[in-house]
Amino acid sequence: MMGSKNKHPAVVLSRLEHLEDLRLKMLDALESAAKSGGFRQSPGSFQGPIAVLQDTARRVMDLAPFQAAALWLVDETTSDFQLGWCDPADRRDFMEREFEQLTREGIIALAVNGERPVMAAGSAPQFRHMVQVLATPARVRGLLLAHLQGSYGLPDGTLPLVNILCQSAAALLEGLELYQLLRVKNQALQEEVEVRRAVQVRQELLSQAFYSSLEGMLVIDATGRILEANPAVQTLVKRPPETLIGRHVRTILSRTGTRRQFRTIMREIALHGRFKGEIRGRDKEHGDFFVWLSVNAIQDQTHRVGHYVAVLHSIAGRQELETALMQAEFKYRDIFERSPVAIFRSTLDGRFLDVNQAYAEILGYASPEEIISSVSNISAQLYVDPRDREAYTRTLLEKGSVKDYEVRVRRKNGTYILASMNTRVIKDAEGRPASLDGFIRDITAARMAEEEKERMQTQLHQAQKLQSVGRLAGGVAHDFNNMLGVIIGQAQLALMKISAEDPLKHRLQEIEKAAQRSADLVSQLLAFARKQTVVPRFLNLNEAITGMLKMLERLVGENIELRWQPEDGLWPVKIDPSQVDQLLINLVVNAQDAISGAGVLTIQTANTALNKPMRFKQEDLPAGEYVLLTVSDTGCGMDMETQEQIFEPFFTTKDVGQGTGLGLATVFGIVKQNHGVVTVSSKPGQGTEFSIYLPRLFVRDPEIAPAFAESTMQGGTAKVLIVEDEPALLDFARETLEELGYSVLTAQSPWEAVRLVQSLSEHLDLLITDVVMPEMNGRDLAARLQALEPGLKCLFMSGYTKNVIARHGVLDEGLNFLHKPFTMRELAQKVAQVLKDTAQS
Amino acid sequence: MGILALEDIQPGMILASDLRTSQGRLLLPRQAAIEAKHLRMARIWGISEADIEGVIDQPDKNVLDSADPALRDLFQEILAWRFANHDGKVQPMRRLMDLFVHRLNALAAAGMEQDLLRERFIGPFLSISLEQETSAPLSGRVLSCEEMLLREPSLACHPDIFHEIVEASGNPKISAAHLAEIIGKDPSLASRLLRLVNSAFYSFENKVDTLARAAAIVGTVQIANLAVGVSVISHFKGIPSGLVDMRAFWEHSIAVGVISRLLGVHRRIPIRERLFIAGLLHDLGRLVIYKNHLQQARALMTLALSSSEPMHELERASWGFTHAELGSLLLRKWRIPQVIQNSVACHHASFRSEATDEAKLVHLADVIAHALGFGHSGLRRVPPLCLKTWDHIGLPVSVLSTVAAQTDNQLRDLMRVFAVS
Ligand SMILES: [Fe+2]
Ligand SMILES: [Fe+2]
Repeated sequence: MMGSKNKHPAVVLSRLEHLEDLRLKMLDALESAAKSGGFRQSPGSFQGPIAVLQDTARRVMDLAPFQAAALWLVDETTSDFQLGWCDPADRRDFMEREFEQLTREGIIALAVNGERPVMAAGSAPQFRHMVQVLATPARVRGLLLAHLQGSYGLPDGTLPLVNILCQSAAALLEGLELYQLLRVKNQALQEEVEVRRAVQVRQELLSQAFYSSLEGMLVIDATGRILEANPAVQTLVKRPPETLIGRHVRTILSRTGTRRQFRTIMREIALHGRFKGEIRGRDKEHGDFFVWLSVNAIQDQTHRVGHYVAVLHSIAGRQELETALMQAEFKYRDIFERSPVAIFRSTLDGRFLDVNQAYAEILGYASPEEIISSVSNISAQLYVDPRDREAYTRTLLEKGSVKDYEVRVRRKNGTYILASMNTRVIKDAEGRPASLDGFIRDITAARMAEEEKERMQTQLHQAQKLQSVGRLAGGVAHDFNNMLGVIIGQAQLALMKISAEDPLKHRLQEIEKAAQRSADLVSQLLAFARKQTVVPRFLNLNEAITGMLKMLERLVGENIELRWQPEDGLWPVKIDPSQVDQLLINLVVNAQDAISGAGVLTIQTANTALNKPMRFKQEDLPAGEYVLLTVSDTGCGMDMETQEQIFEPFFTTKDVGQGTGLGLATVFGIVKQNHGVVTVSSKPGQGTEFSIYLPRLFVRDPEIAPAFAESTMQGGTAKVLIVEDEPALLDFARETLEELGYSVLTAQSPWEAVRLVQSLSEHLDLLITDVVMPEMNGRDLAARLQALEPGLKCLFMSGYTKNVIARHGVLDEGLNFLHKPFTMRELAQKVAQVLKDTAQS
Repeated sequence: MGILALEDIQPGMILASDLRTSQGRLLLPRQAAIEAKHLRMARIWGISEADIEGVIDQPDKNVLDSADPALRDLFQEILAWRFANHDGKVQPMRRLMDLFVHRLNALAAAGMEQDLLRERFIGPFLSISLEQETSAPLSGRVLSCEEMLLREPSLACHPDIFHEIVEASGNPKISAAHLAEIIGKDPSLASRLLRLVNSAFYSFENKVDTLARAAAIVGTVQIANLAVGVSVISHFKGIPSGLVDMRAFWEHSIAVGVISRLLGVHRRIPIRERLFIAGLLHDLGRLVIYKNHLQQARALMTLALSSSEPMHELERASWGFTHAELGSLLLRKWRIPQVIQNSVACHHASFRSEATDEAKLVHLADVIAHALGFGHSGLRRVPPLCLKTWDHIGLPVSVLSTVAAQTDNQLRDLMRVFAVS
């Protein structure tokens, strides 16, 4: 045996060379994947689609020795393909000709309707092309045509990488289109705001006309009460207009014959809809005066008289002017009343003098009258924070006006709105502030829409970023996994071929260890990319976590106290138990890193029912029942910026070399795969809390969740016989099992095994045998040995799959089976499992 | 209104219904007048037909109308011989004959002699004198399917590897190193592949000295396909060229592989590499007979040349089984996946209940490859088509011209990869 081991140094050396070669190729591939991934690219960083194509062409040319790469873009309106970019530029005509020929030959259609690159013959015998569509799950966005000449193939891994590049380009193009749509939408919003502003300006103008008119003007309600009076009235009646407001119009008519005059006016209006004539008025100082009065009735929507507008014209005035003014007034009042803009007049101390219908509606009142009569203290009744009104009046008194003053206002039903006010101080004849005039806008919805838009945009970017990385990771990881399998297997085999003292042993072990670590990394990547094969099943999170506590305690060390607070009667969820392990380990490791020195780490579970959707930074959670898993720590916490990035792959706050940066990305991937949401809340210095919402599983007849797979290799003391004609494999299995404490016998052929068992004095527990052997198949051997050794359990191994074996009738379904090649761990687990079944049966 | 194939649509025609891609994207609304650029776009998106206003089906249109009058008689003769088992008035045969005449036209226009055309599409006229050989007594007893295989000495060597390679070729994710490891178990296959990769045709700057490197350069799926082809070719070396034109045989095999895969794409069947292998191997049984049972092969060929009965029927009449069953049995001995065995077994009997969809596609591909004249596997007569199978697969007739063009391109590419040309 020693001799045969030493006979193979050349074999070992060549294996080693092969392994190093593989490792270099992997590094190359990783590097080009990283170069081409473009994690940090967002649609916003590109000028337009052509820039995306240009960038993609450059990356494709970097990947493999293409002679040229040209990209076509789909015109979204005509669905036509247009050449957008060609690298190098002088091959443009050539590539377009090739494209036309491939179109005629149906090859372009072949690529457009499939997702993998198509290899095709070109127009001349030495030409060859790769055609790949640029498509998102939703739409075909373009097409890549890459030209090869002379050399007739592509390096392994180029095709998946080209595929990834093209998908990522398509996603970028789609992002760009979305981005453009958002911009258009923004513009529309802007325009709407401008239209409103124009209405306000017009309103302001009319209002100024009213206040600065030289004719006295009054607005009177249907009962005769004065609602509005302009400053010009003062010159006639010799009292400030504010003092008239709220009083009956009779106040300004002469005391003599008041009733008669009033009746005349009313009759006239009832008959003709208006009154024109000379009347006798009354002023505060001198008594009666004559004035030309014209009154117009203003009908409301139901054609009943709602208001009157009265113009008082000093008797010396001209008729025509009067009429013109009257009409202006009519217009003003009409606009005031029907204006969609909410207009008000109030006193400085907080009473309403007048508001229009729109104003009443904004605050939830049925009519202007209702709000005017029921609000006697604006500051106390309407302001959410009365101090806002103090600041507002202070500014008004200082500056004479305020613009776009935002304040929270209480509506009649108690809800709040965000209002924006523009107000001006109206002064009396002596220049003292008499009242406040202005208008108010409800900007609650606009503000919310703005916030919503911002939030959605962030979500979109985040999702896109994570998606493209996920695709990249998934695509690459599969190939690496295969390569890593070869590396690990080869290293293990090489290790078996050399003696313990061999200087190469250490190097080989290092290779194996490094490959194993890489494999773990790849499985994390796959979990993030949601490509790892998982078997979600009925699971009680409390049980799963309780089973892990010991391990987690060891993980966090003595300085950190681990608290476990399970909710009684926790709802079940559906998830792969190994994913729960990954979730907790990653979260706990993250918490442990955040705690320097002593601290507390709390794991909690809870049932949570949401009766309406919940919004998070990452995404929304629909209403429903969830199991909430919280992991919180008393560590250093993190700022907002960090919180936004922690779920991105390769983001880490640790020093280079300390962490993979995949931990929380893995958590994100797992939770996403299980239709849940993970959120983080944290502040610097105040610890961090991760909350994971997993949908509740409703089952009538839950299957019992099987126990977790053993995470360590389990040993035993049973006596095992291994029958295998390949000596290397026999040695490998024997060494592995002896290492674990089993007592092992070996035989290279079935007959040798039979002879061995016949001469055996002790009891034999387990037979491990190859299925296909030259002299006797595994099943016959097992039957023969079981006759000698009743109760002997059997484990069959073969390079063929269990199904193939079963189909050929060599082995029945349901027998213990181990697929070759196997790792030490697989062998150990299988042996332990078979022996355990023995104990039960 | 009526459905017209894309190549029959002229600019100016009016659409009777919306023209949409298979993903539902609207290219042109109904009532629109078609322009030349729309035809190009339809070709890009893979649309093969459209609903046109005012079109009436013309079933009596003669496929030879488009031919040069001087050649019409020759074409008629070729058609009559090749399509003896077919009704040219029924789709899809009408369209296939149409496409074949297009091909004849193109070859004639390119300057191919009439004799050459006749030789290429009617032959073979056996060069070995049949009388002399057949006068030797045939073995007294008719051999069974199993017995035929017993005479196949190469059966013993490396069937494991062959089945591993076939499995590998169905897995696009397989790594180059793993594939190299599998092929490496058969040193002669490995060295043959290396020679092929290094041949002037591939023209690499540096010599490719390991299989892993070869697989890495040429691509794993291609190497796997190449390995399947090469190992079959090498199993059946030394077949007398007078009896069967091996180049035409491989062209036929590769074409059936390509067409099976293309039909799979049009039918949206996911695993297409396996379809390629099934197509490539479908006439494997013939190779066994050509190689080890020359007398039976000659006798059968003589019979076939004088009868218009399909060759596989003659096989059954003479031996009690067909080359399809023989090939499938050999694949079973080689432990090739069941699906592929099934496709090979049923490629002339796609009406059988056990015929899978894949087997049905291989059947159609075989008829299409023969009809369009992409090589042959012994006799240039087009084997009969099972119309029920065509209906079951449910592809539009118009897809055939697309498939013909795509096959032309892919065959050009693959014949070079397999270095058969
Ligand atoms: Fe056949
Ligand atoms: Fe065939």
